[in-house]
Amino acid sequence: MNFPPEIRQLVLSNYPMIIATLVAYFVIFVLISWAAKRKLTKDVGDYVVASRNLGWVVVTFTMYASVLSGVGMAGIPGAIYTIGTSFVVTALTGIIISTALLWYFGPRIWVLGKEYGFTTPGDLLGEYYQSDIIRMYTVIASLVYNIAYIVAQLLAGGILLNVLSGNAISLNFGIWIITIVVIIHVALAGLRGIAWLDFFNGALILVLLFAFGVFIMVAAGGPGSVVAGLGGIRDRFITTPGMIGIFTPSRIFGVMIGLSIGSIVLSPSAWIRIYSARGRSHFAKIGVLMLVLWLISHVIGTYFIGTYGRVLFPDAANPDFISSLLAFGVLPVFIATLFLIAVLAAIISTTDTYIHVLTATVVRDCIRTLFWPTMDDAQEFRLNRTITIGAAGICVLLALSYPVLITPLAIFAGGITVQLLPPLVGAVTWSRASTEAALVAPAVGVLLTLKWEMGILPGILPPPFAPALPGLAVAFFINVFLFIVISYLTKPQSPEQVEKFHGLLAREL
Amino acid sequence: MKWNEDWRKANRPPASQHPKIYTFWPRGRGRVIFGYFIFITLLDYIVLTLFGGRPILIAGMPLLIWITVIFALLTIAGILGFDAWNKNQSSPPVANTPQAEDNES
Repeated sequence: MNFPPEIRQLVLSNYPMIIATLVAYFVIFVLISWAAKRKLTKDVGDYVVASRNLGWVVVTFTMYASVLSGVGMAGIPGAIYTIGTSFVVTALTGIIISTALLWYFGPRIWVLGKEYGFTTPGDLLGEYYQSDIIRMYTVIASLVYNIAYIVAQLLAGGILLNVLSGNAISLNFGIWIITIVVIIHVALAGLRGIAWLDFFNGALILVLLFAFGVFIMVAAGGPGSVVAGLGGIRDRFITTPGMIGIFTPSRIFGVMIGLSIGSIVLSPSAWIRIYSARGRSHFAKIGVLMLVLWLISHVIGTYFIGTYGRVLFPDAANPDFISSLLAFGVLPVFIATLFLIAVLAAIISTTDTYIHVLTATVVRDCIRTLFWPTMDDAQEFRLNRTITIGAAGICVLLALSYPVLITPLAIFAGGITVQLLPPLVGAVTWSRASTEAALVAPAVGVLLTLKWEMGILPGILPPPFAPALPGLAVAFFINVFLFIVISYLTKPQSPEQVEKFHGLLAREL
Repeated sequence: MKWNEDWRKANRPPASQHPKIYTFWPRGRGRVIFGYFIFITLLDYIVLTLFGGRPILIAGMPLLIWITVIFALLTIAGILGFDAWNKNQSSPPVANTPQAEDNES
């Protein structure tokens, strides 16, 4: 994966300004870390969930920035370039449904977290189903999801630093730099520092995506002219099933189950941010603001970047670089530079979030629960900081050793986390759900997802039987079906357990 | 290693003997809210199926985008509207909350 030589040349010709902008960004970064560190108390609740005291605007921006990532800034415009308008509709449809689900599940997760001191998904599901196996499912989901994304972000960040430095920083050294910066930031500032930095990064990304879209419209002579420039492919580009002929409405809804719901609602980082909100009444505002941010980002930003990229560079070798390529073709040089910095900001926001969450889930749900139950909060706080270094080190080694194997996993990581949705429904809404169902159904869903999307398991399973749907969606529906059937065939949780969770929610909401 | 599978030891009577069953499909205004979001999602799917293949531009933007933006606006209206409705009709303090609300026995 190499940046196009044209961009390298443009960067070299504007080298002083790019370095100055990069330095300015990192100065702001350090100031935010320092301010957050001053507020951090040596308490695990403050480190992991910011004492459940983040305002709704900060929670919204941290969810937006951490999910957007380098994938959103580079990968989604690249996918629109390749697939057409159908892909932006796929991304937005998923975000819209995720917003409604967040509004529904957010207050429920928050109330239980506040009442019983939960800080991770495993706390909630493991406690409701009274099973450490189910708790381990959340750890496995966290490991797969977070490691896949961290590795992908480190690689992308290393490449970007290599380009921004005019080749002065090698790819591997760039990966190490980002890792060390993120470790220091996470260990010193905890979730509050991550959220504050995400707020800044998210605002920067939003403004630049919006500006990018506006500059494209001005350059092309209006939104209609952008589409007209597509020429002979115009009709296929702006309709379903898109340029590659498979993005039917069924596939749009199927893909979004993993890519959006799995990331925005069910990922461990989203869950921890739900715990960290100041009040349960904030989730309507969080959902609406987040949807507005995504609409601006995709309708004005990524849609025009992917489409106009197709107009100006119809034969781009790697569509993932189309946003960077187009930036220097359309934007003033300073704003194009800022755009590359914003891509780096998105990468950092995702990396720090996922390293923090990965550590928190491993320490709480694995080490403290299984091996060191007498661990107190101060010890858990210190262990979180220590494990952060180890987790980041493992991710760096994976990024340097197996980039080809790991990076595609990021695409389907949401397909793994979304398998936790049925057990969550059982814990907060449907008291008929049984532990047996929560043990079997998600495991089947995960195995089928790995088989059908990644080809990881040997050929012991048939291909998905619904060709209009992606494998991860079929796996999810099988999970839901099994969850319901097994629940009806077995006994629900004890009345005391049902009252502890569902009774509390019925009284509080 | 401390591994808990306490559900195996828990007293779990059959569902028919549970004092209260909390359902996925709520009663009252909860059912209206569920119905609304399911309706607009199905509507989006149907409209995408019927009109998604038409290469129409409105104000320079593809029809596909407009369909999705309208779906987003209906979702925003639903969240804000139902949230306000919930707040206006919110339950009395916990101690006085009737237990039948949103429950099926």
